[in-house]
Amino acid sequence: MDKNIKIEALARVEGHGGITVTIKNDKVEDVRVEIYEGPRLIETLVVGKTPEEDLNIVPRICAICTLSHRYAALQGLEKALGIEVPKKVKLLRDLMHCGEMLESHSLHVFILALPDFLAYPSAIAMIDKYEDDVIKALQLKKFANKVMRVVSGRIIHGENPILGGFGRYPSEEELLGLKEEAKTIMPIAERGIEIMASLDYFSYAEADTTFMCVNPPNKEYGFVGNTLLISTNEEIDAEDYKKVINEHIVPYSFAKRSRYKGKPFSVGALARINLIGDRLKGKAGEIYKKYHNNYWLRNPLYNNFAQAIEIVYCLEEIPRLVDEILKLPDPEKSKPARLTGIGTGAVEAPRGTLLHHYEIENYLIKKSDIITPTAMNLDDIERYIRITAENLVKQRKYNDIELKLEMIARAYDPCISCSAHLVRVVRK
Amino acid sequence: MKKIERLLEKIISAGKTVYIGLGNINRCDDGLGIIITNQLKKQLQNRVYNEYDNLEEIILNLIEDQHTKNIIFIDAIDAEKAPGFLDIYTPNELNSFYLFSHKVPLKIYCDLLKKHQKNVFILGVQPKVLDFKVGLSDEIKKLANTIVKLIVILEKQSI
Repeated sequence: MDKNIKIEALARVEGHGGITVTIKNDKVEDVRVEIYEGPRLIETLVVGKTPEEDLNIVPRICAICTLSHRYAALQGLEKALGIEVPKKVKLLRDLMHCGEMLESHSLHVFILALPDFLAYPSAIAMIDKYEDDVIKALQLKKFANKVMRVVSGRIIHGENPILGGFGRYPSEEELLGLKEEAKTIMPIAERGIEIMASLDYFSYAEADTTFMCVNPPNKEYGFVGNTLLISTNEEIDAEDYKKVINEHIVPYSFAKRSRYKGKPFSVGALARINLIGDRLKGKAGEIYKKYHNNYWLRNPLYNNFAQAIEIVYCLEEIPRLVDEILKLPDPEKSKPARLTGIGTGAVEAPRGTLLHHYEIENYLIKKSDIITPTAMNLDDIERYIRITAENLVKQRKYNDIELKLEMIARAYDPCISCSAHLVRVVRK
Repeated sequence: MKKIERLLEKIISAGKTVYIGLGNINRCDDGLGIIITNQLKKQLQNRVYNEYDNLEEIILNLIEDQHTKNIIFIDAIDAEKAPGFLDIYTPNELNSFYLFSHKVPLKIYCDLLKKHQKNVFILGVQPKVLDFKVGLSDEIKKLANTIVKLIVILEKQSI
């Protein structure tokens, strides 16, 4: 059988993208994840700008992971300028980051990914039967927005986290409010786990891969660190990322892609849970122990479940962070120790490892390099789509092949989830 | 305009109405909904929002609010009419209204609101210019001011 599968208009992969799978004589001939969006040249745009200007520009790369970009940029710039931030500043940044994780994961797990597993065309169609769960997802998102607003100053593009400190520190009352609400809202996260545990994760996509995530210090679970952990038992300094992450381009896509030592690799919630999930404590730790198994190492669909675990983790982490923050006085803004230097920030965005590298000369940016998780995942998404397509074709399961392939792409949550329903099949 | 005036009067007089502006102020006339609601916010307190507010919070509060009868989204709508064409639509009439990429689709909000006995409408204006530029075109700006005045008058009448 010949078949041309085209998934068009994959929005929010920094713009527009699509997936094309060509099947000829019952053989998968070609798989392409195409990014149509033109280059945005952000890295060039910040050359000649001050670090403060950079912090206002780079978060505009993405309105979903705006705080991740700000956090990674802060880390890179502060390393380059020799700025040591006080503990309270770091804790507040971690708190705002939990807000972003919660917001992004709750949308993806409940609204964008779940309909596929429950055999609905979209979350809209789920409302009749699952109204309560949709409302719960909105409550979770509402709380996540509140965390970001209270800590970073705004829901999107928060301006509070600044070089060396914080513009305005949230009040004790605001922080205690977040702590209480995080506890109250926990049953929603537990419901998410219950749903994820009840789903069937098809096996057509099973294959080994390499995982990477930022390694948080002190053997803790978390989203920020100075080294990168790889499933090959390697650990490298974030500053050395160029030694192992190779960027390349393909003729059918405007997005640069990354490989780990020349091979596709995966980043994101699943990579984090697979690599450092055994560090989880409390409820999240119990859930990890109960549900994590070897299938998670070979099937990208489990990224949805991994995100659900991270929702629980964030809701446990918020009260802990608030308690720590309230023990400390509001510090003065830290000042640069030098005006020239090099630094790389490594942060886990909801979709995976995000790197911001800066070379600064006389307090002006001379060079910057930003590698996003979607760029890191693209080759592996394409590879897993091919594997799934090949397995389905082998078993002559053509009926819902588009849906299965969309589910693979969507599992990575590469900002294409919402449009992956728009599949057009052209039979040759 | 008379037709819209009558329709709005009917909606507003039926009960408490909440206004939510949609759009992008960096795309010229696409910012119409935001600009109208920013002006309305000064006159109709606690009943006017825009998509840059915490939409989840607003919708969840509206679902629980027994007093709110109507929700009117205000947006630029391409109805393939002359610039400035104004109409009131129901959510089912506008397919593109539902397509929000990597956000909760507005259709979900509309369906939830309808399930909780709220009337949902979209006040749509045909834009003239959608270029990357801040500020409305003169024609649409004039109309936006008229819409603000009309809503304020009708709201006062309904008290």
